[in-house]
Amino acid sequence: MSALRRGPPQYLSAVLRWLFQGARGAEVCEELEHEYTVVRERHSGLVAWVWYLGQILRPSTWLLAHEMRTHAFGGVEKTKEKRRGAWSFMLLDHIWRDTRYAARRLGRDWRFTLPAVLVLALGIGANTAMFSAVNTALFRPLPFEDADRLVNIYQNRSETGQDFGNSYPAYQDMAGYTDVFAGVAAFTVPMPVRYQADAGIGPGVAEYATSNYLAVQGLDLQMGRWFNAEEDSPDAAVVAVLGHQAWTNKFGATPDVLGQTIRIDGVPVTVIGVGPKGYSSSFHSGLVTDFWLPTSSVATVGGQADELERTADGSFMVRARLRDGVTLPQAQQAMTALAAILASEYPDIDPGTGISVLRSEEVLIHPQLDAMLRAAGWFLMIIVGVLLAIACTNLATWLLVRGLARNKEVSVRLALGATRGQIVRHLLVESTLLAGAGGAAGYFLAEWTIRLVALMDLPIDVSGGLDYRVLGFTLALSLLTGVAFGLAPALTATRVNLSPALRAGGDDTLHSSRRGFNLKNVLVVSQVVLSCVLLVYEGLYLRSLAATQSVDFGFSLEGLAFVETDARFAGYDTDEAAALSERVRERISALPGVESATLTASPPPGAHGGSELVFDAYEPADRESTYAQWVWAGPDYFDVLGVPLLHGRTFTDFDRPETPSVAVINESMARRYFGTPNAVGRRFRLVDGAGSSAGGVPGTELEVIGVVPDVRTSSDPQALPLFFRSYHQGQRTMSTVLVRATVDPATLLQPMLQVVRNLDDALPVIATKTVSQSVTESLGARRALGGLLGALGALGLGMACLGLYAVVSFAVSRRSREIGIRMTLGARQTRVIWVLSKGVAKLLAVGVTLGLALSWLVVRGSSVLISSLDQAADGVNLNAGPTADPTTFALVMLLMCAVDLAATFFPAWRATRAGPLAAVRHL
Amino acid sequence: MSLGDLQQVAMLAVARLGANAYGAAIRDELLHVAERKVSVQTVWVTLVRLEKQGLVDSTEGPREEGRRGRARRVFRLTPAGWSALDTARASTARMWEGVVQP
Repeated sequence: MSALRRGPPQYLSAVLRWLFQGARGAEVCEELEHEYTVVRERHSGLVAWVWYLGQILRPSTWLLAHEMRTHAFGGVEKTKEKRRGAWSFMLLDHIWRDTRYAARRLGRDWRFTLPAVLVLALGIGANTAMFSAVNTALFRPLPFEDADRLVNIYQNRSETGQDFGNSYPAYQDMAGYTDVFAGVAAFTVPMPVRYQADAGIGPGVAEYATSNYLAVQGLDLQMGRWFNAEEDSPDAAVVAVLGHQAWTNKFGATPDVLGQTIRIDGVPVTVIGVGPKGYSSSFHSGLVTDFWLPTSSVATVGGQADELERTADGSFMVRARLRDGVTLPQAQQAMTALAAILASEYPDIDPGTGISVLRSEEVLIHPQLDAMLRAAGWFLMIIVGVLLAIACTNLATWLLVRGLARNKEVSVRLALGATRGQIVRHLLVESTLLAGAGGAAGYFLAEWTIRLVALMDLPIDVSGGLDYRVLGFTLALSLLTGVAFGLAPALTATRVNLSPALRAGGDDTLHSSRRGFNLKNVLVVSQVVLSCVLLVYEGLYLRSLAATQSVDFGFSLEGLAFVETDARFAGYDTDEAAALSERVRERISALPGVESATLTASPPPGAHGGSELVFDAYEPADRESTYAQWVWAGPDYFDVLGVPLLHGRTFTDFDRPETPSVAVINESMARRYFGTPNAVGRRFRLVDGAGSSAGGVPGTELEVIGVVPDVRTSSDPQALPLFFRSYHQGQRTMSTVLVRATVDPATLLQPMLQVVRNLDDALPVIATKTVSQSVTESLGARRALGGLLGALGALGLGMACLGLYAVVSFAVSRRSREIGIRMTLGARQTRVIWVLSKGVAKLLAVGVTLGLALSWLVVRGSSVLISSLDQAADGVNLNAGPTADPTTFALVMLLMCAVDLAATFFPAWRATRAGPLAAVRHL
Repeated sequence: MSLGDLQQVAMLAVARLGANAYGAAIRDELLHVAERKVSVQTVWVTLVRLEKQGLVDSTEGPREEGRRGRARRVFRLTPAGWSALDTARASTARMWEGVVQP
């Protein structure tokens, strides 16, 4: 068997055996097979495979086959052999000749070939790349062993009763159901951290997981080991398992990383393992986790001691393996029983909304987010589909036009004695060659695009490479289009009546052409319709993106600069860090060109925390969320931002940790929860997050000391409730000195950095930038998306124009005789252009009208779909689809008309410029 | 009958190899001695054409240890082949006479 296995693959050697028939042929095959084994032994199977394929494809092989077939070896058997092989060789020979002829012909008609190949390449390549990237990022299959036995468990959220997350004690309760589950593991959502390794400080993502995480999911590490139960205890030194991608990209893929100590959020952590290859995070999506840490370290590293306590909104995800023989309904039943127990034991915390058990395979990331992801997937599929449809109709139009234009050539060939079969075969080979060239170019384009996307520093993993199923599908579709539309004119053309076609100088032959024209009209109209849909859909999306980009944050970004430091990595405790930050601020405020300086946790406009709130005088409606974000702000914060104070006072140096906690709130919050713009002196409490105690028991109480106008923390155009807390009453280890400059803020960056260096050279500086620079960078991903969509829109429009141009040019060239006569008889140029454009203009009018109507339907349909998903997603603002906007519709209509008319006008204009003589020559 | 360049070196390789003159060995001989890199298929094409012209003929060679399938085809020069080679050498020699490299 082993000797057999070393031979070349069956499917390749079969080709050679078909080529070389008979005893002598078999000798050649064996000679090459023997050489294959030699190459394989010397190099590798892959090299041998490539070598063997090369042998099959090389012309000398085919020449040899031909020589051997025509070699009269003598004897009856050998003659029989020769005759047996002759027909197949002849067919091959003909196809080869047709291919060469078609290649020459396509090369000569490069004005047709080049755009056709380009359109196909873009249709196939761009689509495949885009689909592959999103597909690997969102819809990759579960990498777990026996994934169908894994379930995700969610405690339902108090306000809405929908699946959300679990508290750690609830996870422990679930793990007690050993009769239902063979194993139960928990992990948090990926959380942002900062880590310090040799290369300096960088942002990373950490998950806190239980010690049985690997065993429950059936995963194997790349290297090292997972943490054990002893290491997952509050007293143990913190250990970490690196994500495979972090190991490769951030730690140089070296095995020395094991045993190395790195700092995560300032805490020393020992690396003990490297995660499985191709496994990016617990959410098996494109999200990338850099570190897996023991759950117990969520207090020390994450600084969130209450995460391990029983709360209403826990952030642990639970994945369990069903015991053999246990079904999903049985597991659900057990968890419902647990939910009832929890509700009766902890009535203050547990809302009694139950526990959901879902198959892991049915969850993409989280039930709350999946709806949004699916909406995004649908949006993408619509664009990709429309683009592919445009590419295919385009190709069809061109082939059709070309087929009609070649009536004369076909007639000549028929007259010279070519059979109908030969002509059909020739045209078929030509369209297959064209589709093949387009496919090959598309493949390279897709490869190139996906590499480019992988090079971008995106927060998602798109390393899955090309999806060959999609590539195959798009390729097959274009091949089918090529063959179908290459064949249709071939069949029509070969039915022509020879004499009129030869006589007419390539003019329309009545019956066949009219049919072709009707089909061509349909194709032109469909192209216009599809381009309209694409443009409207993308135009609307781009407008909504632009709207979010030009958002007013409530303060001017100009003239602001910051220096961000993290004292945890330099070993400072909170008080020392606070004192140091204050000294940095003082020195920076003394720099020339600095008008004022303040302290905050990170640069604006981002928020620093969020919590559900409890108000004495405000009773939220059923399922109403009172969630609001906060920002840590030092004295002079509002002066630096240039935000005026509406009521009360701002923070001062007297707001210290030992004094009552205070807050400045924005106007929206004041009006919504206190019913008045002047809410000074009123109080509210945090439910969870930093400073809270367990569960639903209200935590820190804050007194409102001032009200400011609406300040936004995101590009969401709607102003949301937001409050500011005194920086001096926070944890203060991460500090940002924010300055308002009287000079160009960029000139202050170096002096500010120098101030920090002078005070403590070891204090890690995270960033020194102007605020507008940092906001621009944070919008980079959106801009990239906008650019991508814009490029796709332009691509669609460009393709439609090319198609249209081809059709009109053709129609005009068919009427060159008529134009000649008209011009000779003294018709005005404008009149002739109008006559020529009229027919096309009608088609365009029909196309644009239908296109806009269809676009409206698609937009309506997608917004209905998205709003239903929105409801399913528990009020998460999906913002994934556009809304109908008359301006965009009008713009698209104008653009389409302008472009289409240009595509009509130029060929017509050119025809009239050719002069009457040129046209009359055709008479 | 005049011989092509490749035909001539292929026939010389057949003559040099004697009983071992099969496809791959001839290809190797051309590579190492004549310093000409050709594929085994090209060698075969040349030999088949020479066989058609009656300058070489072929028989099945002896079976080899460790090689699967049938025995290799071994080529040898026919008397006409020897004579063609001889003619080619003589004509080349005559052409060289009186040639002086400047």
